[in-house]
Amino acid sequence: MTDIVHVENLVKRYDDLIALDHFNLSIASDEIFGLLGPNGSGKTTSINCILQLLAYDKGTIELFGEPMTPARYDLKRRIGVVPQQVAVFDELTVRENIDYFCSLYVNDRKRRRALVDEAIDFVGLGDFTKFRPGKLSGGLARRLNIACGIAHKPELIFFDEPTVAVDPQSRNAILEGICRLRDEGATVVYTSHYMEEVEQICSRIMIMDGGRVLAQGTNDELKRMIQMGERVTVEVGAVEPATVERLRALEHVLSVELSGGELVCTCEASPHNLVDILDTLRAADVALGRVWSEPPTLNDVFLEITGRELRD
Amino acid sequence: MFNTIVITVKTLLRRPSTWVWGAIFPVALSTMFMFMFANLSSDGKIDPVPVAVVADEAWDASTFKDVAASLAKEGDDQLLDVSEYEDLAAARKALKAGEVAGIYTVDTVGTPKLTLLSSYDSSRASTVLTDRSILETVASSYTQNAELMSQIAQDNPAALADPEAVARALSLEGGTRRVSLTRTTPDGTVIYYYYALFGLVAMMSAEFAALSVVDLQPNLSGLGARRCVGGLSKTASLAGIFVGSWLVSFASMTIAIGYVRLVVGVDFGGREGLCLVGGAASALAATGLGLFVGTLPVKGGKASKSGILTGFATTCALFAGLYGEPAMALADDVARACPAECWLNPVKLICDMFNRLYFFEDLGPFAVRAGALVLMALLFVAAATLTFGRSRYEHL
Repeated sequence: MTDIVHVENLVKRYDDLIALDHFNLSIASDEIFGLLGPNGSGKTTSINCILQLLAYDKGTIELFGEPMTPARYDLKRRIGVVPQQVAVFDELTVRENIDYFCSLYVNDRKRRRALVDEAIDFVGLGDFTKFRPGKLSGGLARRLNIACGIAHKPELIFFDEPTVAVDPQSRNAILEGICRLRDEGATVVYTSHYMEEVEQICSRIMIMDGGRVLAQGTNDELKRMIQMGERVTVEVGAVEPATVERLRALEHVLSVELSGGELVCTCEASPHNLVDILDTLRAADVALGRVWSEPPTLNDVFLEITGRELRD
Repeated sequence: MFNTIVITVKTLLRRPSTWVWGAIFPVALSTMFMFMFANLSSDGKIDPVPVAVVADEAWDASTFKDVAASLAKEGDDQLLDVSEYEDLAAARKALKAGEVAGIYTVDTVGTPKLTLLSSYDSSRASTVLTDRSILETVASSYTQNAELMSQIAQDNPAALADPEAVARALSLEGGTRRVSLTRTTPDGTVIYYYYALFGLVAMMSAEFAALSVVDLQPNLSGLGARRCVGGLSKTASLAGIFVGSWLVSFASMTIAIGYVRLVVGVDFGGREGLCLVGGAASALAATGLGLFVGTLPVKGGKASKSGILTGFATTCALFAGLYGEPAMALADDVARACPAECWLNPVKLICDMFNRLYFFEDLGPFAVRAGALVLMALLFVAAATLTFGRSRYEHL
């Protein structure tokens, strides 16, 4: 099956800075593809190159199986874009804004009216159609931003960090909406530096840093790529340094950190990690509180690959 | 594209700055001119020119005495204020004291002579020169007419049998026929200021296109970036902005022309319809300029583009003579030294276009200048299209 988005060896330089270093990307239809990386990792640059907003130095970009160029308005009409910042007319009402952006793709006024109504319902702005953006809260303005990008029912939608500075309630509404778009047949490219969101909604994920692709695959595939298989946390009383050393010496334990009454042991995947750790602590007469075990997160994946936190 | 036109008009009309520069500014400036020139008009009424006459025998025997007396008769059209002196010495004393502007004497054959001071106070130059001009005109007209009568008496004595014809010939207007060189008789230079005002109003409205096109530029606004990834071509978007901005700019010109005609009461010589055509051409040139400046790759976004246009418009208005008599003199000097300036300075070109429409019977000069404004607009649009086509969204 033809990829909806296919990018090969894309290179983008800003003077001496390499923003994209031989970037490759393949996205199949009907998936939510996540681009995850810290600020400045090249997520937005890659999208802007794909959309032909930015000229690039090298590489090829194909959308819907056809080469993408700045003048391919036929391809652009099949795309929706929700930019990082709210980009609408301050002077127009909610309905006028959505109608205008829809008119960039759909000429027929009657059809457009139905599409605008549908988009307003989709983002839940029915009570605010006559409001201007300045009168909307941050979350509602984000929803308007989304409505402007999806009203024309695009086949491929780019969401560039749509939940930045959004309250949890609006964030959940936005994420649910994106899943609904996927269910309705749209392919979604979702960029974010919030790993929880990407884990929650994306079927495949690409981790980027410094303009390079570090890893890509499903959530599980990415987590299997790293050595860490589990993180065990134990609430403890006083712990002797010798006990910490004994824990570090356990077969599958990768690291041990003691901080503020919490002992965090990072371990390889093994069925006996929890038992081994608790036995060691009991043998040293350490008072125990709550105990829990977590699988690795995407942040752990990023940390293990790059040696630094995703949000550093 | 139609929707882009509608949206451009809507967004412009909902910006306070559009109302300030498009409606309040022309109305306020026109109103200010109205009060300034109303005052000037009442001051422009000419006071009788004080003149001394040496009332000797020659004066009493001369028909020039009757002419002077008729011009000194009290009333709205009184031209002279005659003071009789017994001898020339007394009259000279009054002239030197500044009590009179000149001295009329009559020689033995009845020909009037005018005596003036060789120097005068330069601070009163305008008044002194006007007074001298009146005195000279009265004396020379009389002399010319008297010469004419003498010639008629020699060639056709019978013609002098009609006393009314003789009186008419000896009056200041006798023997001359009033011919207007222009289609309409101008009321001083007042109308020129209003035409310069139209030029400035048009150029200030260039801001409409400039600010609208910033919202289409991916390198200047997020909104521009979003519009550029849409399904409408850059050219169509630019064309939509051009037409929308032109409509608002033309509305602004219509307000200015309408207000000056209907409220201020300036006569456009019955060519109000063509004035609107001129307004449309002016708005076209201004919109083209705005579009071009709007697409220029300068830092600072809307504020810097607005600043560039305001500076350009006010400078052009200076060289069109909008800011009073010194500016008008400067504009004339520059136009004489560099005639091309009249075609390159849009405010001056607009001003000249309206002048031609008002003063010239032939519409050709008006049409040529309106055409030049349209050409100017086309050049600006072409340059804007090139500049805009090369703009990219270049930041991380």
